[in-house]
Amino acid sequence: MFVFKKIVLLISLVVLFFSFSTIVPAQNNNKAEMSITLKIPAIALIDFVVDGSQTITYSYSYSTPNQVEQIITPTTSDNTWLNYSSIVIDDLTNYITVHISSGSLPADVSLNVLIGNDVGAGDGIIGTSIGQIILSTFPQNIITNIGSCYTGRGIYKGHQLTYTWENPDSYNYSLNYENGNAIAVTYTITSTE
Amino acid sequence: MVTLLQLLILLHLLNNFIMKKLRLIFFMLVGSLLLTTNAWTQVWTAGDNVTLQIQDFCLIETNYAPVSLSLITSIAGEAVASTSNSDLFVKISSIVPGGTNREITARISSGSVPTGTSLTLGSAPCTTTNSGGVLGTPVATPIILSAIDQDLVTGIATCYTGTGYNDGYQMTFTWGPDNPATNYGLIESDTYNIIVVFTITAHDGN
Repeated sequence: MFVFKKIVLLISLVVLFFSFSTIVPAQNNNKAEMSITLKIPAIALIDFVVDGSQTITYSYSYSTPNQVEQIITPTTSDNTWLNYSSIVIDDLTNYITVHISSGSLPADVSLNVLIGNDVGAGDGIIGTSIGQIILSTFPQNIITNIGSCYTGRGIYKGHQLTYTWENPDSYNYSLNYENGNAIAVTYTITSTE
Repeated sequence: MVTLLQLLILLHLLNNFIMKKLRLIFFMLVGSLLLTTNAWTQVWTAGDNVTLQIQDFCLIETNYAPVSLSLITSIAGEAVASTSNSDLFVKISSIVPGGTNREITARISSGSVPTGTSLTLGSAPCTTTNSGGVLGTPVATPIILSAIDQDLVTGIATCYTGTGYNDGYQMTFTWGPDNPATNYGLIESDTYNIIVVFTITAHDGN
């Protein structure tokens, strides 16, 4: 009987001890969560860079950074470098077209452009050059399958453009330039979307 | 007759025994009185036994600054630029047992950093305006966030950072292309939401 009372007392004490422990708990809030938004907008930017030894007039509009226009003369040869930056959405690619956007050529004159391969100054999935084409007023693909990449900015970066004229003597550049009929070509980078 | 004699002897013995008992009781009484008087004198000198208990604990919170980062470039030919955000402050309160420390760690608990990019996180030393105690030391190199906890601040003992919007450890997230020579082509345009969890660890005496 005496032993039983002792046990009851002991149990009561233990219960009391634990109940006090829970009344004063260690206050812990040891984690804080926060969400972070990471945005990668699609990018399609194109521009020329021209070797300073030869004057080539070109225009660049910040309102349409996916287009750039260049005025071509018979002396425009291989001093232009096409630079671009591209970030694509999954399963899509960007591509670059070119067309004569201003002026007209005499029937016996043709203007060719050779699009060189990327020189490897950038990183990523650089587009594939189509080689040489005869320029027309209709856009033609010249660089395709551009993924997320950049060519680098400046001369000797990106794709070198080499213009060649067939029968340039028939084309009076000076007269056409004065009349506002100089030949201009426009390069456009577009998504396959 | 014998029985009468025996009775007398028995009475004598009994008397003796009672006297002894009485003497014992007397001494006990005197003893208890002495003890009682001792106890009375104690009342005037002894204080209450007050227990002061400091439980170890820790609390962590942020200032809930929204963190949004964008990888962009506006110049044809250039790569997207690394970008950073330092709006977030982490606040803590900590009590530790003597000789023990805590760490602040961080990991990504939901979502993942877009392929071809890496997100780093570094902590500044705790602001000093409203803080006190042993606030620890940020790790020297920002951590590359992953799904595994990594130390951001170590050696935190008993301290508090203050509760203001710009109190605590200022966190800088930096996001950019990861090893572009091989990975730039893996970057895909999209919006990615991830959740970062900051943890203040149990003290290392546990």
